[in-house]
Amino acid sequence: MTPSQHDTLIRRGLWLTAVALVGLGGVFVQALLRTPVERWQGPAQKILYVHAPAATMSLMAFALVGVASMGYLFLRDSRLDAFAEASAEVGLAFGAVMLTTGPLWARPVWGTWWQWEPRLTLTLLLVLLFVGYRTMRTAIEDPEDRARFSAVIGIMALVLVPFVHLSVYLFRTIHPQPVVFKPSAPSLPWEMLRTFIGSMVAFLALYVGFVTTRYGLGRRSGAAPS
Amino acid sequence: MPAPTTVPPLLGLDQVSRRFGTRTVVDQVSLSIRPGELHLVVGPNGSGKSTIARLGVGLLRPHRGSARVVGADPRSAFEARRLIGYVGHESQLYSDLSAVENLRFAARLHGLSRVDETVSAVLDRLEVGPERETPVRRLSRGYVQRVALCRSLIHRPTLLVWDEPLTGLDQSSLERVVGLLESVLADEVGVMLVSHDLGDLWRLSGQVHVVDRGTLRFSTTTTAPLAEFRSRYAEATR
Amino acid sequence: MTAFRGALAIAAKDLRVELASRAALNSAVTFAVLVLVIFNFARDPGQVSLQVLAPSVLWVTSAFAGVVALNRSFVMEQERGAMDGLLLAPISRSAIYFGKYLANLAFVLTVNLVLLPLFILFFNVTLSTGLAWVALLLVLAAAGYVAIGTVLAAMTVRTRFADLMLPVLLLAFLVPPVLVGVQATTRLLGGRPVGEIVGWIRFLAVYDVVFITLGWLLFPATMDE
Repeated sequence: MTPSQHDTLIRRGLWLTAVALVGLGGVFVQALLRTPVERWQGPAQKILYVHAPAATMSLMAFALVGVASMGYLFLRDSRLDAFAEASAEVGLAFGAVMLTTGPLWARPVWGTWWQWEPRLTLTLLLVLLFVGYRTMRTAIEDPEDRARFSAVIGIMALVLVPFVHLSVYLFRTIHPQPVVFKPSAPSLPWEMLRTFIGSMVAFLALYVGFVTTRYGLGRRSGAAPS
Repeated sequence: MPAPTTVPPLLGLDQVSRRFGTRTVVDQVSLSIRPGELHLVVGPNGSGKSTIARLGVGLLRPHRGSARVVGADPRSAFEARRLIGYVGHESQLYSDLSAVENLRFAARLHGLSRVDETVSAVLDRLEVGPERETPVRRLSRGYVQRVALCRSLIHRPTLLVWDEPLTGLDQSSLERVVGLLESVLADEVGVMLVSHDLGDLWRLSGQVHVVDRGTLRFSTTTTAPLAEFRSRYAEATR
Repeated sequence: MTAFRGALAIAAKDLRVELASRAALNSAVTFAVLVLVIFNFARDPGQVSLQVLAPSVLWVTSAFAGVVALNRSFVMEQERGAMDGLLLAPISRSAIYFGKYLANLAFVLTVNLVLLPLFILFFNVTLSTGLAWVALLLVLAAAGYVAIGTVLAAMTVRTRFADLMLPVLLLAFLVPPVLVGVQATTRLLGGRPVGEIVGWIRFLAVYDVVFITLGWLLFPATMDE
């Protein structure tokens, strides 16, 4: 790719991000003004319109790092490494959103900021592991070494997930079970579901926008000066 | 009996290139070493000559071109690695072990039999005396270098790739090493020596390749007068 | 067969280096003892009983002492370029992995061997058959996290701030075995029947098999310059 193509990519990423942010603003308005207040959780429930999509996107981002890492070790294509790098960083950003909105919701509803239950523990560990992943990347000079080492960690992280989940599951969970993604029909009122889906789409667009921008930036700084 | 040209060389570099990041360190270098031949690779610091050596023995992956040891890729073929005796900038020794322990380990890695005899024979060859029982961390630089050379010889390789082998050696060890090179060359071993200076090696007969900024600038032989070579070298690496 | 011989030669060499320097064992054992002692002082005897605290202390100490031992593993290969010698030997990358793995496991288990009696002494643990099962759990857990630690240490040794990178990366992988270990140990030391912890033993066995396989598959990628 030529430098101008990188710039085009970055520009597209930024445009998509802008559109996604506008969409997200719409979701906020929708969530605050046009959804009913949940009977048991009260207004705090509205945080979940942000929390759940952020959490989903964060986990998806980390999973895609693992997939791209496997691809990298087989194909040794630096584009896969650039994608893994971008996805890991965006996953961390969404992870930060998830870890700040979670306690804000939990305090009034659970009566506690934090609970060592499976989902929280798993996501916290993944965020910590990917903080390590990022630190590792900055500590290696050679781009090929960096790509290989990062890929190894990315794959290991993917394999670790079921083990953490299973080991923490030995405690009883108090985390709300998924209400949108489950085999039977979603058990939400239409206004809530609509807002949830809107938020999910906005977050997905935000993910794609962020990753595209970050990928373009990564490719531009890693490309050979011509 | 096949024609000599169809026999793959001991070491064949075919248009090898290697980058580190965006910097090309070795650019399309070709070289072929046959039994009994000596090849001297010379160049200023940072010219890529050590990288050529590491590419040749398979410690680095070429980005373009290929490096073959008797026709096989040393990165994947055990048998090809068995033929190589390599000494790099570092000694490959363990500081806490003695010369004997280090060489015993190298011998076991290569699956040699009669480990103790082999180890003492190779240490005798470069006159490593009673110091051979001392932990390497307490040896002087010249001793360490001699032990490192011994380590590369322990499995009787047919291809020697030595990077700056004379570093830290005093005059008598230096003579000893040059004498050893003469005898292995007579035994049909192929030798590649990487060096930034040639004064002590010029009396060996072989080919000389001048490397600068990652490419081969010119090749000649040690039959040319050293002074003449030096001026050509200065010209090429300016 | 050559792979097996090569792996054993590497493991034996690591032990010989360790016997000559005692760097890893000394620091790991000292570390373990210090942690045991500090935990004793960090406890309010009126509030928290030794029995409640003991399993956590045992597992945290064991895991962190393991990290200290692992950190040394590839330093000796890095110091004078000895890794080049291993890579040029006529053995596979996997043989190098298993050689390093065996030596690291031996270190970590030795540290645990010193740790366990001290733990029994400091925490007033009643001798019972349950303790033998605790020892088995420690071995099973170490077999898994050392497999990961060996791959990670091979990489972190070649980064800046290597000593810090290994614990940061390994922490997440230590959580499942430590969690399971603490739970099972609590039951065993409380005199519960072994039948109750079979599931956890199985969990650790699966963890071992998966991560040893993964280490074997991924290690060559860390050596491919």
